[in-house]
Amino acid sequence: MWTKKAVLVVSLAILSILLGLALRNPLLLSMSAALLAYVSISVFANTAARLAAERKLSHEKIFEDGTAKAELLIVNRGGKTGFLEVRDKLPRQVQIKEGTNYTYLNLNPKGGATRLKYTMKFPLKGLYQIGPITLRTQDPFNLFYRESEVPEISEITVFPQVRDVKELYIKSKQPKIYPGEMKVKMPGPGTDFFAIRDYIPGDPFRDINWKAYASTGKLLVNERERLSVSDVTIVFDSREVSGIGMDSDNANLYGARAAATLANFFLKRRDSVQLVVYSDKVRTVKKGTGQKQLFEILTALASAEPKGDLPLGGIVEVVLPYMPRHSPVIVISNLEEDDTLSKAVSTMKVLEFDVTIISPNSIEFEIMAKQKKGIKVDPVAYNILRLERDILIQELMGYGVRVVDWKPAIPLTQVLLEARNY
Amino acid sequence: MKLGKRFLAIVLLYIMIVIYVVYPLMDYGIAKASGKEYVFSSNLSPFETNLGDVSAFYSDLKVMDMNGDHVADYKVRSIVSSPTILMGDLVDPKKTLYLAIGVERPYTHSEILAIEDFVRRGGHAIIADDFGYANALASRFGVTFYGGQFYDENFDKNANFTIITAHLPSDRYDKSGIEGPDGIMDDDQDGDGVIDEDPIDGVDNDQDNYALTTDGIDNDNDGKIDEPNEGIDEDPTDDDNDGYVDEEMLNGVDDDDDGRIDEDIETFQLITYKPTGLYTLQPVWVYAQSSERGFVDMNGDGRLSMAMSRNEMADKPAYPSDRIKLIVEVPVARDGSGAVDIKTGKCVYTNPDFEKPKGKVTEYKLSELDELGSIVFISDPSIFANELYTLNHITFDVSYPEDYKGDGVDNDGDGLIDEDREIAFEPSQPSVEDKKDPDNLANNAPDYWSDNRPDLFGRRKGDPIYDYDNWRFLLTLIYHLLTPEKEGETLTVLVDESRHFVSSPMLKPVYSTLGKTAFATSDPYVAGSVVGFLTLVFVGIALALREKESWIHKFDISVLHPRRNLPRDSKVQTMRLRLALQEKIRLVKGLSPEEFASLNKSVILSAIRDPELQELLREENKVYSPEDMERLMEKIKKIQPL
Amino acid sequence: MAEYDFLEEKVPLKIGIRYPETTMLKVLGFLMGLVLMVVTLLITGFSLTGFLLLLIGIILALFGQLLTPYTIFPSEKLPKLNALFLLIGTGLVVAGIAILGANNAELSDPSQLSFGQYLLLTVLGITFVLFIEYNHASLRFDDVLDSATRHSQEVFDVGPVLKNYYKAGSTLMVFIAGATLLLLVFNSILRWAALSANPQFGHSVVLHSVYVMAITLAIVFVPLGIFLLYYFEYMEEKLKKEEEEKRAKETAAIYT
Repeated sequence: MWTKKAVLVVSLAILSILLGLALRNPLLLSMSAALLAYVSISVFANTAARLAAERKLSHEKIFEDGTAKAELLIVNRGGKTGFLEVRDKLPRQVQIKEGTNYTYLNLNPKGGATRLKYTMKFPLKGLYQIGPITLRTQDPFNLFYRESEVPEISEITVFPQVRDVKELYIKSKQPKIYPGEMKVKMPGPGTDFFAIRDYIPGDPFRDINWKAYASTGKLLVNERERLSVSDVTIVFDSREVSGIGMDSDNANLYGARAAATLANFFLKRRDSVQLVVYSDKVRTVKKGTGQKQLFEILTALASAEPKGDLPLGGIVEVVLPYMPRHSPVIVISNLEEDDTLSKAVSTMKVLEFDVTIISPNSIEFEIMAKQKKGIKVDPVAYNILRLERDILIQELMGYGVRVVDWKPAIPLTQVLLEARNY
Repeated sequence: MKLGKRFLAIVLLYIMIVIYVVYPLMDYGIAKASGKEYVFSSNLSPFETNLGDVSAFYSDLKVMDMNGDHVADYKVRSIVSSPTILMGDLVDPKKTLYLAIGVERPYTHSEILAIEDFVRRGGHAIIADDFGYANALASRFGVTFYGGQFYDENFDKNANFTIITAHLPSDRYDKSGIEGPDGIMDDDQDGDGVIDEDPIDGVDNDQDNYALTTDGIDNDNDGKIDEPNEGIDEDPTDDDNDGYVDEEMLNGVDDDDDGRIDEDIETFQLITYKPTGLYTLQPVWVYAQSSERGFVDMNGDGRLSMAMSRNEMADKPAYPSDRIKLIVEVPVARDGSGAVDIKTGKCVYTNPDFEKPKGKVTEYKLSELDELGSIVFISDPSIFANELYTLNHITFDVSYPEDYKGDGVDNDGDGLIDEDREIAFEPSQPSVEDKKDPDNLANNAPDYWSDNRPDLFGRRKGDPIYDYDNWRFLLTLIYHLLTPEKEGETLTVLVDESRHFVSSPMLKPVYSTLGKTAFATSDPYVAGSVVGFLTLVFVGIALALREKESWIHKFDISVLHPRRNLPRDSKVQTMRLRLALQEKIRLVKGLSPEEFASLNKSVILSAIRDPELQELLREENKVYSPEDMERLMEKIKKIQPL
Repeated sequence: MAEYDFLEEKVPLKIGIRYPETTMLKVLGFLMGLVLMVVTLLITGFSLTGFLLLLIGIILALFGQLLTPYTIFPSEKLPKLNALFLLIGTGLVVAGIAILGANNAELSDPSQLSFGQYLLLTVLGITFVLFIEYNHASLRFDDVLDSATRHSQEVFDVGPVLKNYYKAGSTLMVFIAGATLLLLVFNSILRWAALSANPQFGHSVVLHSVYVMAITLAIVFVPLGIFLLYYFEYMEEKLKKEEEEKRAKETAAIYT
């Protein structure tokens, strides 16, 4: 590829020829000859080293604000390196805390090697691609360059932050909104009697109802009601509009942190949690419990980029059959640009789900971002958006749904507290 | 970007193909179609030695350079592309002679302007033409080539080989100023070789022009040799009585020790082949003209005849007072107005592009005319050709005009008596002598130079002396036009080869490209605009080109993602506001969207108490100002269930 | 999130040497300007306008060296303040030489040029190239150092790169000088060849003036230019493919 300098030099050479002819000036033509020689010889002065590279990462899965170390081994397989630039391509959301991902290199033609070390910090959740390693050789005069890639790619998953909300919960004197242990009218490994049924080989002996056996002569066992609690569904809106605002402040990011915190909270309480993420498609993490489930949920949240525009109404219809009746449903959505919202919420309400909506306010995110960037904000336009949002929230509340309007200034814990204080 | 490069390469290739393949083929095709046979003429080339070429003249020019005296140092260069190269400062006009021998291609407008500019700046030019292709150029100096063949009573056996007498005023060559020659010899410049045919008023005998004196003496005898406008050598005679009028070298030295320097006017017998005549608007210096009986045969019937129809051009006969001019020199004004009248020194404004000033016209002193640039028109390019350049005499047998005797008898029985201007055509069949000597029409068995001293042209004892003086005339003319200011000065004769058809089809596109390049870089306006335009193009390319990306990692989490459908203009905002109001009413009334949609508008309106809000709902085309909308929003917020 | 503050992109306007590492280049650039001036005046003789233009151009180029890359135009595509000074300085130098060397018939005519004069013209051309190159290289390495310190945590060591630059650059310059001399001598060869092939063309004005130099440059660089356009288009792709294939074989055995 030509650099700007090469184009300027060639232009100067051509203009010198014309000017030299017009002014009958042999000096300009001699200069032009030198300039053209300078450019054309430089074309062939570009080196073509063949490099191989490998990367090692200290971590592949971290939480927001976590750091990971990368070590790059670059080996010259032959050819002179000349003016070689090497860069490990990083997404712009990655901050380099130590070392560098980019350098000029001069390696011995055969087997020369070097290591590039650097520490990355990831302030935002997401799925990050590290690499490929890009190489650029150029002639000494910076007239031409050639770029190539070593397709060495790693991925780092950055989970959204999980806050500890247990403390909050204990402090609260209000009745629970996050349900405590609750009988779910299903058989399970609980303590309370539920029903009697025929013995099936494999049932523990201590479950055999000896009294019934005595009276009926048949082996019968006691069934107990399941002790666990509830099946919580978190519906996470990751549509394109969830990205409104800035990289560092938007509904998607805040919502994912809220979802992660809630999931962690419920799972710690041994609840079963199911996650539904909708963007351009629906991704469901089927209900489950324990550390593994949390991991799955965090991964799903990390990779949920703002994309697509599926309506909530459709999602509800699709996932409703998998949702245990009467269980709590927490919808995390900025409530933007979705005509099916009120219908979807009313449907859920009709089916007696316990619906809470946590709604990061994208209007305020956008205004804040614009103000930070120094872009003028039209107050009327945003006031209209606010009015529309107020009316929508009012309508949803009319269905008996808890709605928390989450403005950027309110901390996550406060929002969750508000939600349960409703 | 990829497409761009490929595209550029294809365009370059295309241009080259057009220049080197398509253009020459098309040119050839057009020439063929128009019925003009494409002539790859090698005639009149200084670098070929055929009879029709001018190599002898060219090598003589080089000999002049080598005579050891360093009288002049002539470089001969050719113009292969276009005379537009004369524009700008590629050559110094004052040290350059532009020479076009035979014009087969008419001059383009820019070429004419280039030559005009060249002579305006003090350059000299010789245009030798017979068919009149040079008329577009000549007419801008008040000169016209008749185009028809010129006949005269003097010819060498064949009427096509007309003999003409030319004169060159030798005094004018001395520019050293030592002896103070006046520079205006043959004052009426009629080319008759007679000088000072004026009465002498005792004061300023060179300026008044009204009588004849041919005494060959210092006419006013005032003893002052440095008197303005008077010279001592204004005589056409052989002052030193050595039998030659042209003996002295034109070098500012008194070669023959007669006390007079470069004194004699020279007379030349020129042999021509099918020349034409010249017509001039204004008085010019005439170096050769017809006898009183010459004529230009405009209708091509070979005789002096009346025009027989309106379409036919009348022949141009010579009159005793107005002969047919054959070789003329036109001084050219420095202001670009065209020719200068040599009798008055006033600009004639023959240049049609030049606006004549309202007030006084520009005027030069007669003695200044010599310092101006000039252009010489010769009505026959063949005087340069090898065949005639050193011709002794012609051996062709030719048919004489049969009634040339002037005896009052109609000798040829054509009903006309003594039609001595009649000239018969050449016989279609060659004679016995012709057959013997098919290649050479001339018998060059000349006399030989006997003097040991070399002449100006380096000819020594044993070199031939020819009957005709073409060679001497042409070299003297060159010297006359391009006289060195100081010894050993290098002067350039530019032979314009671009007036001939290019002999090599391979070189043709090269010349054509060179011609266009020369034009684009010589005309200051064209060159300026080309350079300016290209500068703009290059700046554009440089701006458009993406610089190689900086690879230093830039951490940035502040990228803004704005919403796409922000209600920007008041119209959309009002509409959204109206919808919001409707939603609010629906909510307050506790209706589903379907129920609400079925409501009558008046019912909805009745639900609103505020008249402004009513208006918002009612008047669907009204657009509100931002302030109004803010107020309305407050009102909508305040709506409570009834 | 205070710790992730936005980067301040605007460079303040300052005068002075930014990085001592590139001082040598700045001095060389200025020196080349002076040599260029001397050589030009040696060839053409003195004329006040041309001399002043040259001098001002060289001084402006030097002044640009001492400025920070301060943004004066709104677009990134337009040059920064220091580059702008270099551009204007170069323009003035070219203008000065254009005026000084105008209408030089003697040096345009290959039939009158001696080998010594060809050498002098070559020196002129190379000095001009070096003038541009050193001035630009100094800005370039300044920029590398600049963005390295602004965006990266680690201090960037430009030393080895500069060493490599001097070494490889000097070698290349010898080739460039040789090529320039060849190009100029080719004028004479071209004239001589034309003279023997077609005297009409050989004696022509174009072959005895600046046009012969333009013809030479066109003969050499038009085909080369077309070749290079194709070279960049196709050869690059081919090379890339080959490299990828080879790398695929080798990567597996990188830690041996």
